[in-house]
Amino acid sequence: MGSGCDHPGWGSIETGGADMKIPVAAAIAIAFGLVVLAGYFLPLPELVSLRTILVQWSMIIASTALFVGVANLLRVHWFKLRKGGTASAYSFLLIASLLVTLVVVGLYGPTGSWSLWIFNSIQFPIESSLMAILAVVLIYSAARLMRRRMDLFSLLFGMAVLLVLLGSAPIFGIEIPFLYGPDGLRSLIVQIPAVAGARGILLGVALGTIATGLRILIGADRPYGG
Amino acid sequence: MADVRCPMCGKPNPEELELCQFCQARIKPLEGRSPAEEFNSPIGAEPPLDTGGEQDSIDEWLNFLRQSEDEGEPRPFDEEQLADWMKEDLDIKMPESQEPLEPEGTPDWLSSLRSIADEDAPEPPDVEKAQPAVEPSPTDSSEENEIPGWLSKLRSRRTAEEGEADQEFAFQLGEEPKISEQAGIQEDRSAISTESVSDWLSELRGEEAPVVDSSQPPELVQEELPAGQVEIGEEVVQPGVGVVSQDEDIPVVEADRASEIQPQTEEIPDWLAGIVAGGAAVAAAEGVEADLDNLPEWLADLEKSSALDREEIVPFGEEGEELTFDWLQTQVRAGQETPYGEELTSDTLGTEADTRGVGPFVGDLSDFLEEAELSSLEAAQPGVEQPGGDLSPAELPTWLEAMRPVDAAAGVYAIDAQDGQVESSGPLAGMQGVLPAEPEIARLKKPAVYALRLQVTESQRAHASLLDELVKSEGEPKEIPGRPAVTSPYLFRLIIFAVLISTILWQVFTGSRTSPLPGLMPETFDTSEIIDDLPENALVLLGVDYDPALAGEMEAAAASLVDHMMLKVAYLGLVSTSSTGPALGEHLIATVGSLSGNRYQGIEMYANLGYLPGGASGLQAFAQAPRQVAPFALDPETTAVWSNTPFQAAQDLAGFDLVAVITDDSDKARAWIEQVQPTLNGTPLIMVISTQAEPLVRPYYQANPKQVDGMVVGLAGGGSYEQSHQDLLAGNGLARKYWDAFSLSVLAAVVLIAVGGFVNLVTNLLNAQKQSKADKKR
Repeated sequence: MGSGCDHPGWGSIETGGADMKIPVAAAIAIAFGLVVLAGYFLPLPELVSLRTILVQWSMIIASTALFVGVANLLRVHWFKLRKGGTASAYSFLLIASLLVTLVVVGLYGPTGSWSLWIFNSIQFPIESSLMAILAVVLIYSAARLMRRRMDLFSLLFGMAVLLVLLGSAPIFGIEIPFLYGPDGLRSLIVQIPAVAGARGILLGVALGTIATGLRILIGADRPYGG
Repeated sequence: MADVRCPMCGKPNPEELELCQFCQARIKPLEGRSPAEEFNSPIGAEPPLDTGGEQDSIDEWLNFLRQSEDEGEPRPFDEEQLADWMKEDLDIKMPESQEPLEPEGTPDWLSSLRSIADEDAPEPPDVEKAQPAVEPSPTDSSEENEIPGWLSKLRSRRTAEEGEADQEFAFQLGEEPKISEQAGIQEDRSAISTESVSDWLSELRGEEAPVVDSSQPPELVQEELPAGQVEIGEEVVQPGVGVVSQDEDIPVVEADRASEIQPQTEEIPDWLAGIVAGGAAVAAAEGVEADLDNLPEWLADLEKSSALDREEIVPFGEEGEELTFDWLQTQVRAGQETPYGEELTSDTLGTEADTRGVGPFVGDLSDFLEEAELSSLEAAQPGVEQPGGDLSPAELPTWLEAMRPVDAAAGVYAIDAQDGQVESSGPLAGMQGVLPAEPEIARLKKPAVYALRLQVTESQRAHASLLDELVKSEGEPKEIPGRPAVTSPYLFRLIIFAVLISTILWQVFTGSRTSPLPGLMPETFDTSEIIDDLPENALVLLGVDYDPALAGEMEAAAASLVDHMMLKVAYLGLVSTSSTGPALGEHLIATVGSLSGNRYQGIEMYANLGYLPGGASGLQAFAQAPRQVAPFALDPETTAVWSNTPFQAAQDLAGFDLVAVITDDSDKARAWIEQVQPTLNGTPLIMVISTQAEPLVRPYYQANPKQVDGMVVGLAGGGSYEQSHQDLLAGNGLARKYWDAFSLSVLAAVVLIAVGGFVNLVTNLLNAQKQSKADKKR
């Protein structure tokens, strides 16, 4: 913490006439992280209560961040609407939908009849339709896989897709013995190689989470902008 | 054939030769030469002018002086050619000198003096009286024979005029000459000469004014030096000759014409002109008044005799018509001449002497420099009038005044003059050494002509033509091949859509249920057991964490389970970490209620706790303190559910009877398992998950102890749950509705993928073969 440090997240605190810059944001993040972590390992009521308060603060901050995000979205599309052009119609539609939903949900609450009507009549079918289109695209991509990349792994991937699909449901009521059922080939594929791969991913995620937490605790990473 | 003596070396040469065969000096003088030629000609290579036999002898005598001055080495003295009186004089004066003298004739400068005296000088009223008395020396008849004619004539005249002239001359000098303290050699010389020279010359010396030392008062100098000699330091100024070194023995000449010397500088050799000018200046500086009227008679005769000779001298400006710059030179000469007979004051002469520090070789300078120096002299002599006052002074044009180089260009002019280049045209025509209008380097030259045809080989020519074609082809527009309206990918996508939608429509319109639902699965069985074990009015926390896009699958999988809970009359508390979760929860409750006929409405049946922001942190906070994180329900009254039954009994999540999570995302499922499950303290956690999340959630289900107590996976799990509970949803569960269509769609998808993959595989192989064949052909 020399005086020559010009890191933007490091605050300036005068101590005894000497201008020493202390990373205030990093210090706060490290201190709070250590407190929350200690609350898991040390069953002290004070630490648990302090940890609970800090986690609740995080929820409030996240809610504020969501509100800020919505405000920024409104601002961006407001500028696009003022700029004009063909894309301004979409911006107008977005702003209008946002304002209408905000007004309706504000008036009737998130579970009001009009609010649910907007959700059930607009958002729900749209997102379901997008998922239906995804089915077509996935089938097309799987069929084109042999054209784009013709190798052993592509062949194995295609064969696994076909076996899992065939084992997902009986064909015209005919259950393929070695595919369908808890002891079928599909179950073997899903529960052994897929789970093995998923566990490996989980272990990797856990290790990555620990490393990320440690880096944040020691101040090496400052995702909070400090 | 008569021989001609070389004026330089004195050796005889054939008459037809123009240059001396011994010293290459010019024997025959050039007439009508330009001033530039005179300027550039060497001093010793050109005799001044041909003035006859007498003049030849004078020239020889002067050439002797020049050569002795230039070479600085003694020459054998030809004593036989000298007169006796001169021999005696030379023997006494300069015994070491061996240079021959030519007593015959009168020197050129002396001739000029006489001519000037005849022409310009006003006739003095008493010239005869001013002549110093000269007594004829008692010489032998033999000696008289050896005396030149002009000297004999002079001697005879002096005999008649002695007496009164002697007295007048002595009267003009004023007092007896004094001995100079500076020049001891001069003193010795004068003493010896007084004794050894002839009588007439002794008288002449005794009567004439002595040589004036520049450093001494006039009185002292007059006592030391003989008349007509002026000493400057170690040099003796001899009027008409100028300053002569004391080491040289030269004839003593009258010094009373010092002021006349300057005009003669152009008619005598340049080297001598400078000496004359310097001597005149020194003599004037010493206050010697050179009264021209007091010339001795013999000197006047000499002047008269040389008058005709002087007329033969071609004056400046008349040498040749081709010299266009003569007017300027004439002007310079006019300004340079000092009026004859004008007495120069000591101040003016002193100024002239100072100005002429480089004076002895005035003639060597350029005309402009001469003019500059002489103009400065004129400025220093305010009382001096120009001879011929009626002549208006020439005026230089203004532009020429501006162009005239004076001091700074002196060196350049001297260098350029050696080139001999004469301007042939323009206002500077005739001038020498004119700077060129443009430097040599800037002169345009015709550029060399090179052949433009390249020497190229055939291969280079072929490559060049190929490159040319390539460049031309790049610039030519090419037709873009028209894209077919229907391409194979587009057609294939249309086929996929048609197949899938046809299967779904077939199921919708036919309503067939040909495909049996899957049997009871272990995870489904565990889930069913947990719900079956729920007490009545159980408090169930139902997490709704899926997206609307996957609502079809998730609702079909969870509908039977939720209906199963409703049958248990469980109080449902809905919570979600997704912003759309509360609406999806309401949609699920409504859908299940519509299918089963159960009326689960209002805060009495379930409480929608809303959205938990912060993802995993929100879940962590909710798990730690559910009352603080989600204190109110989303009903219109915003009910504080935690203060009402059945939530009033639950202080935390462990107070719930069951936690069921419906999610399509493995990360959300993991967050629920990792953040909430540890706080449940034995409360079962079951999950209704999508098929895509099964691989990541199943490990928690298969763990020991289980972190997930039961699972319902996808549409098949929902169908399995419905299959195990036929009474749920009135036997009209969503899984059952979708199952045939799903099975047909899966079959169609498998077929499409298989066929499409096979076709693409074959196409790829064919293309690879064609490519290989094409490569082989190449």
